Amino acid sequence: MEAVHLKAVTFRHNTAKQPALTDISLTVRTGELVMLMGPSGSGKTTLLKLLKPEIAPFGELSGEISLLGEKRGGTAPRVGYVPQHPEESFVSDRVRGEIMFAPENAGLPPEEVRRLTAETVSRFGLGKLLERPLASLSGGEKQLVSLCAVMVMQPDLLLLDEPFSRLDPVTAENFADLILRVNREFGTTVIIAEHSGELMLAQAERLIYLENGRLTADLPPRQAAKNAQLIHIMPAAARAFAEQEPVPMTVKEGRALLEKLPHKTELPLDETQGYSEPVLEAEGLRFSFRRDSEDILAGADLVLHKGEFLALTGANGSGKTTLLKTLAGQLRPYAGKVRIGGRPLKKAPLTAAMLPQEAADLFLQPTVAEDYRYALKALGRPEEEASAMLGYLGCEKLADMHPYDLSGGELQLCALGRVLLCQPDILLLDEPSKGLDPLSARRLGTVLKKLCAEGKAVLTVTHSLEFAAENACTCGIFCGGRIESLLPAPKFFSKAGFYSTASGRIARGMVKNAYTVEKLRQAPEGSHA
Amino acid sequence: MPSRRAVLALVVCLGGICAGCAIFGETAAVWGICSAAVLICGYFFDRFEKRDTPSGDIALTAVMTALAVAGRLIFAPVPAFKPCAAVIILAGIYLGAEKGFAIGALTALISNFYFSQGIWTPFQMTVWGLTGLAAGLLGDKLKKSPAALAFFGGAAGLVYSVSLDVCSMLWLGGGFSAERFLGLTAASLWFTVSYMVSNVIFLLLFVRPSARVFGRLRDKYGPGR
Amino acid sequence: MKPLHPVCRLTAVMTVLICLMFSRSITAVGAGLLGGLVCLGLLCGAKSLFKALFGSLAFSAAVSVIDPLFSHRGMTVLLFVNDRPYTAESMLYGLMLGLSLSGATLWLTLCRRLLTDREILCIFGRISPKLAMTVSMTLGFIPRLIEKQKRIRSAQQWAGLFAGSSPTDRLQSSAAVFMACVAWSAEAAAGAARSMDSRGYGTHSVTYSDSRRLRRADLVFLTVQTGFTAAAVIFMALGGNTDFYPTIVFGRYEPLLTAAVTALCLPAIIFLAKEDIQWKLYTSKR
Repeated sequence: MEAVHLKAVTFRHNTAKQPALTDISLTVRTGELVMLMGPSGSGKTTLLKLLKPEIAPFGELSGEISLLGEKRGGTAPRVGYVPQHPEESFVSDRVRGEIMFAPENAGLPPEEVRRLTAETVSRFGLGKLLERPLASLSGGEKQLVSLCAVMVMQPDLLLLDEPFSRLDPVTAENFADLILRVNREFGTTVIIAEHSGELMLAQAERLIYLENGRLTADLPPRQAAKNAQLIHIMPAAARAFAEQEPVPMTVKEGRALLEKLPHKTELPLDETQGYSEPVLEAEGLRFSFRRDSEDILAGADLVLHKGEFLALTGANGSGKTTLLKTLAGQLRPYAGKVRIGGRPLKKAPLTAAMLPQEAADLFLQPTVAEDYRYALKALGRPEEEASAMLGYLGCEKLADMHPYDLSGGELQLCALGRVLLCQPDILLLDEPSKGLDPLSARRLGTVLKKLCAEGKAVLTVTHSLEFAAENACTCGIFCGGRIESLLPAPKFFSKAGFYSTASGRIARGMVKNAYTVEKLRQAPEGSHA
Repeated sequence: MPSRRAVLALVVCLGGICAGCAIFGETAAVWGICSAAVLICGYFFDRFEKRDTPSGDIALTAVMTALAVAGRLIFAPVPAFKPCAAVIILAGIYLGAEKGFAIGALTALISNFYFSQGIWTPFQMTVWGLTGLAAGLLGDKLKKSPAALAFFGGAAGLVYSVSLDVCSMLWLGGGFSAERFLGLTAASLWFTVSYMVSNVIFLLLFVRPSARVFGRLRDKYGPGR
Repeated sequence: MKPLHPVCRLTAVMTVLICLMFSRSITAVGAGLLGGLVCLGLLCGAKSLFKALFGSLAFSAAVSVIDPLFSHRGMTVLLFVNDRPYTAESMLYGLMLGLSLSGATLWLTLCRRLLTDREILCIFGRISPKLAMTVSMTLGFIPRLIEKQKRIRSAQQWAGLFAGSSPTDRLQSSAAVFMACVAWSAEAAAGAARSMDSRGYGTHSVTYSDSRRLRRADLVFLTVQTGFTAAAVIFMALGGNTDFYPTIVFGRYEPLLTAAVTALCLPAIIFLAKEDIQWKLYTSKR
């Protein structure tokens, strides 16, 4: 049976001149796992919402949509929609209320509501969370509750809008497994809108690619690697070995392939730059929220030099944000010293500024340009610098946008600009690449490298080893309250074992120093360096 | 034309109040204002319940109430200098009279979860609810003139403070006495003034930005939302 | 008192509260306050009991000292203040008011201890599901807003703003942060509305499922409480109140009224004492 059938669907938002979707025809069979991909603004979310009539955007629709065999407008089909940001979609104060919301509003008798809730809670292991306030949950738990609040109605078609954009890689992997289980074990048809194929693409049956509201590709993922337009959304293994047949999709397949291919055993290591002028030094930092609780920082040492791009990687909850706050002077360590430009924090001759994890928190005014002007006024500087800054970042077009209307990548850039307005010498960044599509992450990396070249020092904490490998000059692991293995990036990654990028893990033990996709591509014998 | 059920409900309520006054004698005044507060809140809550409210209205009511309560919590260290009433008034102006009432009344109820619930809760609910209602009814005029808005804010602060004084006086018993009233008003003068001043300041600070916030909401998510 | 239905626990509090608020009998009010103190002691231990006891007594004493300044009725003149009589009756009347007010506050505190927010919502939700839903949503928004407020403020400080510490600077920065919260709330409301729609809000009337039915013990408890309340109200109407002026005379039915109020507190005390003993036995055996 067909779960979704679209025939020549064109849709224009009420407020827009151009159609958001043009002439889309596609079919999804029941039980399929489909990835709906495309750059931001390509119409992924619009298409997804059209499949859920209750939240379909207002506008002009032509063509035919039928869901689970029913025409649009007929009886409500069993479609579940998991929105992008779980936090912004919560409608209750506790987990139980959130789960019960859908059945309570479906006019079911109380016994039935409680039975459905009990089923969901038992199946997804929510028992311990049930009475917790939603505000106290971690990011992964929030995403889980958001999924369960939809699964409670036992939908036949599940739509997910960028489910991984707010999660760290490890939590995202767990959540991906859960979605896969829903698809495999309940036979639910799943459509996921995503901008990166790193996580689910290997398991998906189909890839649908949208560009400017048009469907440009509808094919099995493995075939997509052959398409030069689609290669950037593929997992690392596929990007490294796109020419091979069959194209590997996972690290396991990549390793098997590399083993068979004649390959070099070592690649030349990039030269490392030496730095001389330290701007931020931390020595033996110890921090704890209470005297009797565990130390979050247990003697962390760190030196950041002028022009250096330092990336600290580390697991979730290891205290990376605490470290940044301590360096910024927001939290006071109970032992150890922070020196900026060789002086204590209070008398620092250099300015340090920080870009928080939730970049939207920086904006106080309704448009980007107004906010820049507001900040400049507060800093006592001429307002003309606002447009200069936007020009520097290449964001002139975004000047009159509302910060909440920006895409993830645009928001991150504009927020960076807002932080740069105070002319900092040291930039501290908290997870800048979280939830960014590959192109935006690259763009952000380029801007940051440019800033380093201009003599600023950048310290970023990140989950993403890929982001660190491609951009940073120096890397370290933050673990157990200390910074381990603080080395120049090439050395850091050449030593890495399984805590490495996907490319590094594919090459582990076979090709030395192949820790990025670019480098891994040079590994097979006969490829040009 | 009111339905027969509504008339019947009204008769029963009035009968109950009269009977209560007769029974409680000395404390009839307390009974009277208590039941008036409960009746007013009950009437508006009943309308809220019965009406076919779109999801956006519910969500906005909830979030504006949360804002008013959070305002009371955020500014908790500063006594009597709270943006609650300002938020309720702005919510009334931009979201309409009935939602204004609901937001005002729920703010009083829920913020007392965080502070302490007391016998004053029903009065506070009624007064703030009526503030929101009045702001909604006068909405168009208040939107146009900041002076009118400032005056309204000041008046709302005054009414709030004085009516709570009246309530506590009636509660203290012995009926209305001018001496007691003056004593109480004088005692709470500092609060009255700071309510009025904080209302005016916050309203004037918030009015322009919030016009844009609500305007954007209307443009982006459709009217009424 | 967890085994009892939330409605019963609420009734236990409300019935005593009615008596405390509407009776003007010094003994009945005293009995109500005493009952509340015993309950608090059983529920939260000796420390909170003494704290509440001290608080109530201090407050009552304060009211009884202040009241004669405003009310000059009564026969027994103790002294003159500004040529106005300061009477013992007035003091006693003030004492009664103080006891009644602190008793009411005490029982409201008990109410928060006996019932969780969720249980209050559950009772509320039966009568008015939509309102309960709104309240629950509000309770969900509040911690997020406070968190957001903190985050916005520190984000600004890290970006070099809000360095000033004068009162006007502080007010301006607070107002700017609060306004950013307002903007965020509007987005959050839109998000929540969309999420409600996508989960079927408005297609049917709301059922409220988070409740259990009344058991026999609950019904017995409710009947007993209602009966004693009715008795107390009747005694009040017949003349259970203390007459303070011109001199203090106890009402004809005052002993009966006081007995009724005591009886109203008793079921709760019995329940709590039983639980206390049970837990002590249970933990000592282990």
